[in-house]
Amino acid sequence: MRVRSCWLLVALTSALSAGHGLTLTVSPDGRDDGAGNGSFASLAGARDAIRRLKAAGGLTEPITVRVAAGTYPLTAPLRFTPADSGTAACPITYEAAPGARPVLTGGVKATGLTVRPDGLWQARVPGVGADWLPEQMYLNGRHATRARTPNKDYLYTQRPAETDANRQVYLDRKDAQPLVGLSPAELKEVNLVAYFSWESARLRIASYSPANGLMVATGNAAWGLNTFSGQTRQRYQLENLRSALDEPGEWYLGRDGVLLYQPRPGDNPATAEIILPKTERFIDIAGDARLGLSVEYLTFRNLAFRHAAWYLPAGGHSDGQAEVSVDAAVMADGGAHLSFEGVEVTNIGRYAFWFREGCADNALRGCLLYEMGAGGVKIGTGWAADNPDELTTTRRTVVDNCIVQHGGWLHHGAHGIWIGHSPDNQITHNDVGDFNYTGISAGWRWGYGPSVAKRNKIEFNRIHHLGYCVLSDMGGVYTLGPSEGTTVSNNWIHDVNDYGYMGRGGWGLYNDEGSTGIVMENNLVERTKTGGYHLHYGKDLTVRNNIFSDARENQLQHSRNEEHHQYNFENNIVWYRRGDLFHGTWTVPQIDLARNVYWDASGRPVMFGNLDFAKWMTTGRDKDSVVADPQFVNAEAGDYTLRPGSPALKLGFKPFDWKQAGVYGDAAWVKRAVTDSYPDVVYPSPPPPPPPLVFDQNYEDAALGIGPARAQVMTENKGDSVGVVVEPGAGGSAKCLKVVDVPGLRASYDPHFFWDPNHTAGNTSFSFDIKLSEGSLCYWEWRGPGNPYPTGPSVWFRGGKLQAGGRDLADIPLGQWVRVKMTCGLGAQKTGTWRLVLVLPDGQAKVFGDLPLGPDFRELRWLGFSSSADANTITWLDNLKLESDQL
Amino acid sequence: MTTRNPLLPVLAGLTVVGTGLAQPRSQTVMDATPVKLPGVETTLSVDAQPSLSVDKPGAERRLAAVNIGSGDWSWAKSIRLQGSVSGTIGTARLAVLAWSGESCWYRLGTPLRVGPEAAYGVSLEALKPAAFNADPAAAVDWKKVDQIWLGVVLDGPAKATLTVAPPEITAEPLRPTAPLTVPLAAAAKWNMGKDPAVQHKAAVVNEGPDGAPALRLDVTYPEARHLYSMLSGPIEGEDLGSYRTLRIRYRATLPKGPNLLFSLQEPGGGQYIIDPPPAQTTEWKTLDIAIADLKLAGWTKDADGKLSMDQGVSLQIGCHGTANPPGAGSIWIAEVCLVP
Repeated sequence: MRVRSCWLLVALTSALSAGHGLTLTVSPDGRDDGAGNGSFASLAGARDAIRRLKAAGGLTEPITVRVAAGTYPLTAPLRFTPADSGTAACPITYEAAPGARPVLTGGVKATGLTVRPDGLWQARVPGVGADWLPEQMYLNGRHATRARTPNKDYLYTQRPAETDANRQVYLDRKDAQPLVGLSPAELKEVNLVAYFSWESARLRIASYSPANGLMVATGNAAWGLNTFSGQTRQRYQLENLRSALDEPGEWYLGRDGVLLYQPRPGDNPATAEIILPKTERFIDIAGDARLGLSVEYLTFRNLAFRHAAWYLPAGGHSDGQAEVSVDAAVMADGGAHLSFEGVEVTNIGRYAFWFREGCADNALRGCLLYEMGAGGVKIGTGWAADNPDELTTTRRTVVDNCIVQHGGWLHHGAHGIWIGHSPDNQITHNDVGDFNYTGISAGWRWGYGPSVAKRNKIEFNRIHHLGYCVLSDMGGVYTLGPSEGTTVSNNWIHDVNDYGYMGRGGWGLYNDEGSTGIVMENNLVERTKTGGYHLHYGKDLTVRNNIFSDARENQLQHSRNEEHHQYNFENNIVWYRRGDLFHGTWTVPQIDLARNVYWDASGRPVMFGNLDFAKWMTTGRDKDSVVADPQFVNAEAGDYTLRPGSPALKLGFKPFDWKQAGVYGDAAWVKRAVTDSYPDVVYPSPPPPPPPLVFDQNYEDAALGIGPARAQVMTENKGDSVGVVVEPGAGGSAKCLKVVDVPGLRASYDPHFFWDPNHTAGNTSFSFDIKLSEGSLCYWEWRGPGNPYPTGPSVWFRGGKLQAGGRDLADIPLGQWVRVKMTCGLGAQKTGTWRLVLVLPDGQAKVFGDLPLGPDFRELRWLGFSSSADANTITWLDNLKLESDQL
Repeated sequence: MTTRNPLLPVLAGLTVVGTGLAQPRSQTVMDATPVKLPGVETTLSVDAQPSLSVDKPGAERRLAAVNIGSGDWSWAKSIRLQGSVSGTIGTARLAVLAWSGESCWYRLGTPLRVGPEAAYGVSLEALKPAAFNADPAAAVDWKKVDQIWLGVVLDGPAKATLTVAPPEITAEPLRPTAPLTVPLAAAAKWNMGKDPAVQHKAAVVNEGPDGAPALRLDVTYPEARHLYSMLSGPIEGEDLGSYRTLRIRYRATLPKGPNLLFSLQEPGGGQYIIDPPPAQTTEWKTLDIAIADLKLAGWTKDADGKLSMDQGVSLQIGCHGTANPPGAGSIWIAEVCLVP
């Protein structure tokens, strides 16, 4: 110990450079134990030496740790505590030696690569066994795909489990055949990757039953595995199966340490470097802001951190949004005045940086964050309760001039840059591209509750190639909750594509729930799938002087009307060649539109919903706007320079240079940001229809208040309702279904409910008991697919009569139960008529066997009930039964 | 090199009170050394009366501390001192930190106020691990403590002098003597957790007893299914583990079906409720419920199944259940506090 200390003093003394602070060196041939050439072997060794120096006499001058070129293994995170801090006068810098790019790696290199006769590459991964199984692999710096099925597109769940819908689900047994025969241990190593609307989950499989297809995961997903917002059959993939290794670019590694890889065209075993990450994080900044003991005044410059692992927990992993619980390769709590300059963080299975709790005045400048399983940067906390203590809230982070590209391939819901509960951050001049979800997000409050995420500046970023039709409900820039003072300006956003079949939305600028007090101006948004701008709901927003170009489906979307002022939409240019201008209702007084220029370059008239321009202008909602060619130099080729005389200029549009968005600096850096190519977007097929549905519901065991099982129930919350009640049912039962209608509903057909039966062949019957009150006006209807849809068998209860096929069939006594059975042939069994049997309260049965059927109705895709009275009425239903002779 | 400065060179040292047991009942701090910490200059003076001066220009939170030695203080329950504060000090709280190598356990204590001599204290019970501890779950092992710091956590600029009598380490626990009241205005701004269908509003209105301010929560349960709505926010204070009773003065008019929900929740998620739920009453009622009688809600989990107040808790005020028929109602809270 004494010898080491003496050596340290000698080393430090010899390293002293008068007037320029103290410089220590780290080199691959250095030694941390005091022997050798005076260099340390690791950053940890240098850090410890500085810590001892500080303990011996404090910091008296700046310290620089200069790292020579080479590769430095990181077997554990570099941990910095308050004892490792610099000061404002004496900062501590860890930096690459001039001209060097030292690499700190948490990975293990595969060895002994050979090419097998079947073409697969085979190598060994040292250290793999019972205690360690890598879950990511990089070939020459790009991630490879863990063997999965299907290779493209998805499998679809079959139907929901009876209980624990977030943990178990029935799979199509044909799809799940690869799971048959696996041992329990092997099953747990398979990842079931479930895709929801705006998130995915990774689950381990606890059990699978080949007999009925029931899959049980080891833990819960955040969302139901089969059903999202009434839509059924969600997507999934099975990953990490040896039997699935059948596609170029896939790999599989067993616990025997044998790695197999199916090469892609162009892969060369002679030049291949295969690395599998082992260490989970590179740097832990561990301060405690509650105590005022931060880790501070540290700079990391021009160092490359590569290969950080992520391991799926035993209970699986699932977040509700934004992969908010996934941590980062560089974690900071209680960090202040930390600066990362020119740092590279690549080949990681998680986020790159997270300034989590109690961080202030930190900066990333000129950093390369690349090939990330999750996203680039997280700032502030997520689900945790609001921190009422301003001085321990993470704040004032700068992310400037960084390349944040190629992420979300492991955690699909990850963002490029995410701001949670955190104010006063500056996200500027970054290039954020290739994620499966949102590019940049600010705020973490759904609705108008208190939020500290204010005054965030998101400006001059190029944000592009998002979504890839994998997830939905995303934005190039996405905001949540009250964010007064936040600006989203001068960004260039392009190529945002959502999945769209489970939820919807790939927008450029997206103000989601409760967004408040945000200014969005001077942004160029191009080539989104569902619109340049979307407000879900919010307050006092300004959308000004933007160019929205050529969205695929709609250009602008407005979802929820509220009583307060929602936003000003002014001096914007909306130019498009496809899709519609508006989605949602825009003729509401809570939006103020003015001086906008709209132009459909395909030659179609610009339609404002169902209004032409003249009628639109009579609404008074859009002052001084015009339908006119804005006269871009060449919008088709991406040149949005306005020609002199543009009508937009006359209305006060202020030209901006969208090319200023993105990174800046030396030419190589700028070129680095824009030279990657991105795959073409493949618009996915819709999910398969749900399996045919049959049911038999009598409500005796149903919970009170709920609607009919497996139906989508639509009410307007104005006193109308559909729910199980304890009131006499048909045949003397104790419960039944009660449908309450009230006057003044927005839609005459509310309340209503329906199923998607998906019966395509055979004879289908639907039967029910019904009891009417005075004024009951309701109907059951069968529908086929399409828009407009063909109508099938339908019955109306109107004025105390049963009507079908355009005629009155029978009188229905009020306040008494009657039973109805509707039967119809479908597909090849269609006959042109359908049959109705009515059983009156006295047991008398009336049969109507020749009711006419429309020529286009062949399949039962929608079965619904509507109470359509504009009055206070009650209708009771019981014993609903849907059956098919095909099932 | 840090130099050791005697804080109390002439005062009596170890004081053993009373019982003949091996462990002392109290002990007086003998000496101290300023700890050099960033952002604040700390100086000790041992003139006529010992004093600690702090000079902190910045607005950020900083710790000013003196090292008061080491030792096995497992017997001790609190540190108390008498002192006066002069100058400007912003927000300042007494703190004690026990170090074992690079790991630290701490408690924050009484806020310091500029003014004449007053009594201050900080508990030594249930020390919290610092966020930077390598093992965040490890509790302090006094036998391994190598430094003990007594300090002040400072928010905002400070230039002040604390003139002190000798701090005393004592086996007497530091107990709050007055209820800890939750400010209603702050509670009205707490996060509202609720089912999306619920309409929910919170405000302070003059509808308390005799027109006094009260927190009013208006809720609308529009559907006849299980719904919930609750305000949730932290209870700000120290030594929460020293309080024994949750007191709520309330009245309510809710739709038929939902129950009132008052609960305390640990940072880890374990939510402890009053079970059976509090009676609904349109008249003002004061509910005193022993914290030990709160029960873990079935919808949350807690590994030890025991409400631990020491790590801080949040309070929930609201209701849940199935309104049948759907309807609207209100809850008024005139007072909510923890009682020692």
